[in-house]
Amino acid sequence: MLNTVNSFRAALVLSTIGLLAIVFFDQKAVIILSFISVVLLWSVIAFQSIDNPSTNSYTGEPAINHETNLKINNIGSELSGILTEETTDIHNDMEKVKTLLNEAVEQLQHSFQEVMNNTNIQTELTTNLLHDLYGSNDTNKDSQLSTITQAINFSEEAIQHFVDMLVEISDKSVLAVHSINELSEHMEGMFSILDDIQKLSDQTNLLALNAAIEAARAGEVGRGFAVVADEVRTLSIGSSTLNEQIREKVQESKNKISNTHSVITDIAKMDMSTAIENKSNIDKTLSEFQSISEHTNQLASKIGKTTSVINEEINHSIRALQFEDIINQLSSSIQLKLDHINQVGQTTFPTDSEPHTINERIEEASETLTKMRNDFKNQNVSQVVLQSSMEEGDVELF
Amino acid sequence: MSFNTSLKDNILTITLGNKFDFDSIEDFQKTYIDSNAKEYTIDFRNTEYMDSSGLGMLLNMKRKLGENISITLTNCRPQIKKVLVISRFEQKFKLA
Repeated sequence: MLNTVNSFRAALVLSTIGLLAIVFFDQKAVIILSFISVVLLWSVIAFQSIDNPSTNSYTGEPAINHETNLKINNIGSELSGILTEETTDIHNDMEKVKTLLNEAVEQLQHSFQEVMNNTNIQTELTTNLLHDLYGSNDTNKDSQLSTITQAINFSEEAIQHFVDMLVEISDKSVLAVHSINELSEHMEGMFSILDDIQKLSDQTNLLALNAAIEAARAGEVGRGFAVVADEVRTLSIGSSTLNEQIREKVQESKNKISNTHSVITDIAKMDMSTAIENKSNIDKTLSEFQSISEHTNQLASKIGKTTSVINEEINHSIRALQFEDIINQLSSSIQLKLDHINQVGQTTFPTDSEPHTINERIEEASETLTKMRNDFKNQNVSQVVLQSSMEEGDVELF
Repeated sequence: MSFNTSLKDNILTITLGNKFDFDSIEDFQKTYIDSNAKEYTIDFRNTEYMDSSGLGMLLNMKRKLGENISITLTNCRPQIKKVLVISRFEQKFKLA
């Protein structure tokens, strides 16, 4: 009898440790198992004290009395009742956990999807903004930059061209002024020549007058000569008139040249400082524009990078949500264990058992427990596989 | 407008007055037109103002003397130097 009791105790302790190891993560299950172990041990000790006074355990096995049988039945029924109640609660709690988890994961997936959609819209808006800014939907930042730089270079070339033109105008104006000054000198030379011509004309006139006087003095003989003298005088007056007309024309030309001189003077004496100042201002504006453009590019590039990081993170998160499956599997496993615990309660001391000897009932219980333990062990093999797959998940998902 | 000129070691130095502008055209040309120096230096130490005809006068001087004759522009004030640089005069003259 003691041997049977000892082996039964050992079986109980072992099965308790086994069950504890399997459901170690659930506190409630641990409490129930402790409870089962205590109840079982207590009942064994009770059987011993019941047997001892009436029989010698080594020699005979008296029939179990009715009262003891009822007690054992009662223990079986209480054990079964308590375990059924508690495991049902845990079972229901696990169902709630599953439902809540499913709902939460669904909500999370929906939210992540929304975040991803909005991020994509944001990326599209950024691309459109860049397109508006640079007139190109080229995603290559270098080529965008070169478009801006090109525009700036064009502007600089245009301004430099303008400056070069100013310089050339100055150069040509000064050259023109020198030419006009030379021309004015030539004009003065022409006036002096005209003066000489006028003198010649006057002298000719005087000479013709003298000739006419001399012809008159000669009388009838000089009549022909008088006609010639008169013609010469007429010619000298004509030449004098022409001379005067030339002088007027030359004077007119001189005035025109003087006007031209003053026009060229206005062109040549431009104050360059305004133009140069303008160029400096434009240069400054262009360089500010360039730095703004570079800054915009940097920001756009950062936005692009951020978007891809966000998308990547969201993908990670969505993958991480696969833990739902593992939790569901674990929950089902816990529920299975609970069923096992429940079975232990129901089958250890079945209430419908026929009255036998105490030894028979204990042996029956021992055999049932051993068989159940082996059955559970076989089912645990699949549990081990599941747990190892969760550990793999740990590395990948969290 | 009067210019101070000095000839030393075949280098003619022309020191400009307070203004180097349109009124100087004739007088400026006279300072170098009959000289036969090998190099020229234009000294801006006294010059506070130069208009665009100043640039024209220097370019005319270069043309008259010949592209191979070296002309150095020296002692320029910042504003005048700025005008010369923006006008790319360093390509034709020596800016000192």
